[in-house]
Amino acid sequence: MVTLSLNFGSLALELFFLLSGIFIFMIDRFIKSKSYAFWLSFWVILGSMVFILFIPFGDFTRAFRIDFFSSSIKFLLLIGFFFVLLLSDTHLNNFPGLNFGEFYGLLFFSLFGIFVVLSSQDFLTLFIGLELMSIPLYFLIATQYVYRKESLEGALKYFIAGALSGGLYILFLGIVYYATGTIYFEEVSKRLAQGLLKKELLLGAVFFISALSIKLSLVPFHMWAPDAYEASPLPITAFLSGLIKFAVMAVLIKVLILAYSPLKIEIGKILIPISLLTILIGSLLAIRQDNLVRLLAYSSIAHVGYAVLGLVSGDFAGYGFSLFYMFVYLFTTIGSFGIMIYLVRANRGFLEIPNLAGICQNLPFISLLLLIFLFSLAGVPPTAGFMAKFYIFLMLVKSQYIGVAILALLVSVIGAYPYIRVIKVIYMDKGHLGYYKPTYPIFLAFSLIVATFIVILLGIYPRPMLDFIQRTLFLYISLQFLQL
Amino acid sequence: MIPFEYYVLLTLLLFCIGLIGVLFRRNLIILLVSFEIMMNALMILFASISHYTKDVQGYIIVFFLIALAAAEAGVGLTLVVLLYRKLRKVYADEINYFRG
Amino acid sequence: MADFGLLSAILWFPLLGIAAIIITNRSRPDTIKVIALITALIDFILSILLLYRFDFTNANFQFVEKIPWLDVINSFYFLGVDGISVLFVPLSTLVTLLCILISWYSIEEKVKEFYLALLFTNIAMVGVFLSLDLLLFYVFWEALLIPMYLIIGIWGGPRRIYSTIKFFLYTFFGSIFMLAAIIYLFLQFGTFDYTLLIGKTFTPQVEKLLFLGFLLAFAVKVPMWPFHTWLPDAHTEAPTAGSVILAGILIKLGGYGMVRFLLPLFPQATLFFAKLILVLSVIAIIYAGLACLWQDDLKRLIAYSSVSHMGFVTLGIFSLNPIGINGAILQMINHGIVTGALFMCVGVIYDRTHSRAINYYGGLATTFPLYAALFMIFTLASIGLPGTNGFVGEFLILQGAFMKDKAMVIFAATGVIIGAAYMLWLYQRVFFEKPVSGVFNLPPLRWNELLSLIPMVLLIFLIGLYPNPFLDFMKTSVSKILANIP
Repeated sequence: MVTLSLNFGSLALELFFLLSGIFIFMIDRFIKSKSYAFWLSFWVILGSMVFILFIPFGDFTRAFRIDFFSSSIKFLLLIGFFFVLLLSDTHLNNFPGLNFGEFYGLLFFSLFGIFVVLSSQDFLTLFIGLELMSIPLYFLIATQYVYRKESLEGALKYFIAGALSGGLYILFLGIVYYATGTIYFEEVSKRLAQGLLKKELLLGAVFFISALSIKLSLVPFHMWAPDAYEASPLPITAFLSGLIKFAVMAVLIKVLILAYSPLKIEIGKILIPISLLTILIGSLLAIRQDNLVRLLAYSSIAHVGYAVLGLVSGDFAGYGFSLFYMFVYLFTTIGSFGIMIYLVRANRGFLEIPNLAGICQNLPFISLLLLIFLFSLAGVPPTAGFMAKFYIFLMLVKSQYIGVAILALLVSVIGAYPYIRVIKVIYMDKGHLGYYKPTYPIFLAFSLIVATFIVILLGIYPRPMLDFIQRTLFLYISLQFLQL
Repeated sequence: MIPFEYYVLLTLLLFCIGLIGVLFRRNLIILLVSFEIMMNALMILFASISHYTKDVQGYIIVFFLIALAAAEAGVGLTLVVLLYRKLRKVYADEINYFRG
Repeated sequence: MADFGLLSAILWFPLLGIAAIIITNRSRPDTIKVIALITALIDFILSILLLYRFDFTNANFQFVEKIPWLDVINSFYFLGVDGISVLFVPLSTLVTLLCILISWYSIEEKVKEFYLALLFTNIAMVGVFLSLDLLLFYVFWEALLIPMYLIIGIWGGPRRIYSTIKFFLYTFFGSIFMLAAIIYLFLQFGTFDYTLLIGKTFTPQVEKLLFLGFLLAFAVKVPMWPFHTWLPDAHTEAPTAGSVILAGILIKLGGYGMVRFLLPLFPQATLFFAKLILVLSVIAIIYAGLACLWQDDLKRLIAYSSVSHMGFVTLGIFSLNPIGINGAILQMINHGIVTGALFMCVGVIYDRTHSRAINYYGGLATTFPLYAALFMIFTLASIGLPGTNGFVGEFLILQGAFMKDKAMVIFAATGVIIGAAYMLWLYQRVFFEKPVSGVFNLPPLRWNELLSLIPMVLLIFLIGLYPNPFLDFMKTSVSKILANIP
């Protein structure tokens, strides 16, 4: 009989976020100040970045476990979340009619969900975490409906996709519970290691991957992404495409290692066509887009496709490279959406690519930064985007998927075109749109500079970051083997 | 006693009804109802597994799922009502501001 | 080692200039230009110091710097020069210096970005020639695309956008296969280190595929015959400095890569494909030479002439004997000097009249005599008249190729005659015929134009009359590279 440990210390950070969110909702009605919620969340996040280093590893019942992997990923996510907060502050100041308190409160709930997902030890907790993560987002996407009615449509589409994902996930849960009579990762892994129930669990894995691929916007479940991205406020788009995808990718890797490790080769085979199609469709559809956010939405689809390519070989190093890819993508996203927030301050029309013509005349600094991020997205050295792609390809060739690697390389040439086109418009076309030159708010400038710095640093010297990510995984894996 | 397979069949039937509703009905309210049908179908599955294996986990999962289904339905209805008030539309194919 | 760090100094010194330019206010373009000029000048002096310190009796790599870069995959920050690369380093820094000079008055908008891009180009070019780690090489190789894409696209001529996107996608497409080959090499042998990869053996099938992967990247850059279509567009639409860099360094990278990587790493495949490449080279020489006769655009004509000249280079490389390869390397340097100078000359009159059409000009010999004299020297060097550097290179290449395959040489020699025909005809049309639109009265050559053209003239005669020191630099390394080839 397993004894249950109710170790609230390991749950502290999650409770902290939950309480902060509830606190904001409770006092929101009585405080007139617009900025208190931002400062509250600013200090809460800064505090928890320190706090997370002292959280003891351990279980809260059998469902929830703090370990090195989850703590590290949470720390990286906190950094990303911090920048999303900074971007939100800058962005919301353009829309004084909105209720700022709710915005930050909902962000906290969503972060709470992400953390639960990352620490979960069974499939039910994982599902609850996913729902906790998604439900606040349905509202957050629609936050701006006072200013843009259409954003409701994006929120509804994301809701429908999310509900479908939930349905598929429960189907998977049913299959696992029906087949094994348990929902814990370790138990499932034990059954698989004994060679039992492979077919049933593989069928389950198909539904599991479908459910997560809705969150990751993999083909064929990518339809919602461009609409939801375009509808949502820009910081939320960065949150959706950077943080959420990073977290879901991390948890996919966790499940592959902990629960499905005997089946990882077969699951990798399922993922090959999915990821190749994702890259192809993301790259091809990005070519036609005239809206910058939609372009980045399709590019986000394609990029997750590349990251998933790291999982196909079932090699642990490949999992690390996928996480590295998503980390790089997280910061590229923060940078590019930060730039868009700045551009929107100058003129709402700047989100349409043709209107960007010739902005390098008046906004040389911002154009240069956008140039760096776009080249990083295209995967040209010496930016981080190249290193991330390089490691993925290295992994593919190493595990003898040479054909897949060559196909992905070829598509990456197509994928470079949309970014090149944006750069062409910015630097080489004649401008016609009038605008004034807004100031650089301190938080925006800070996040842009940090993002640029990270993108270039990881492009030149990715070693420490890669080491760190690989170490989280390897410690995690060895821990697992000890338990078995 | 009713055989276990009957419950599985019922589950699959209801799930397919729900899925078809999600994929082919245009009215947003019906869409939400279809989601509920899908969820409930699976709850029946969990409850029946629990009943036959004398394992309590399935019942617990059902309670969690009820709570989550309620939350989702709440969010969904909120969005649909808001959409109706702002845009005066309830049919999925009329809502087509974003394209491509 | 006393010279430790010299290569890094040459490579990274322009970063100082870049930083200085970034903090300079854009309302002071003259300061920016001066900073860029001084940076490039110091970098050039450093690279001359490298030549001076270089020991050409030693066939091994010198000034080696090796620091772990990416431990996980065993990749090093590994720099070094040998006789093959040592001449290209000063050539790159010189070309950057002259490009800064020649664009002194012709670039008026976005001055800051232009000089930033030029200095960044310098770093990437020098990096390609210095790096001995395949991954590092690839990083510099690709990084070079960014500034070139911008230089052509922002400051270029009317059809610049089409040309620059074509240029970018062509070269990006080519190098992707090189990346795949590099990854495969790494996974076979667990290293990116060039010196360790020499002498490894493969199964013939694999070796041929790897060879083709590398060849595609280099062939697009050179450009060899079926892959050349980006070059006339890019050359034509690029600003003067862009054309000079393209002609002077960028397309040399392909030839350099062939000598550096294809021959030593894949000797069997080299032998297997040598015949094919020789045929392609001869086709390039004759086809591009004939295409030159058709052109009515000055820059386009010179661009096609580079395709033809680079055909000689690949011919020399794949004749696979020391004479041919020495000639090819020398010819790459010559071509960089001569074609770069020709593009500068075209830039000089383009700045004054804003026309590149050959028919538009005429009778410049009387109204613009100094310019006509300089242009004559470059024309003769391009044709390969004895006494100029072009002669030495072409002669060595033809001699080398003669030892390999006599039939090829006969065809290639027709290329020389065609070359003489189109260059002299061009000269006659531009400088002697009566102009269509009245007599030109062009302002005389400015100081910056003179300063950038005169070093080229000196180099042409220096290499043409006394090529031995230059050949000495490469001899030992070339024979070492050929040691692997049976």
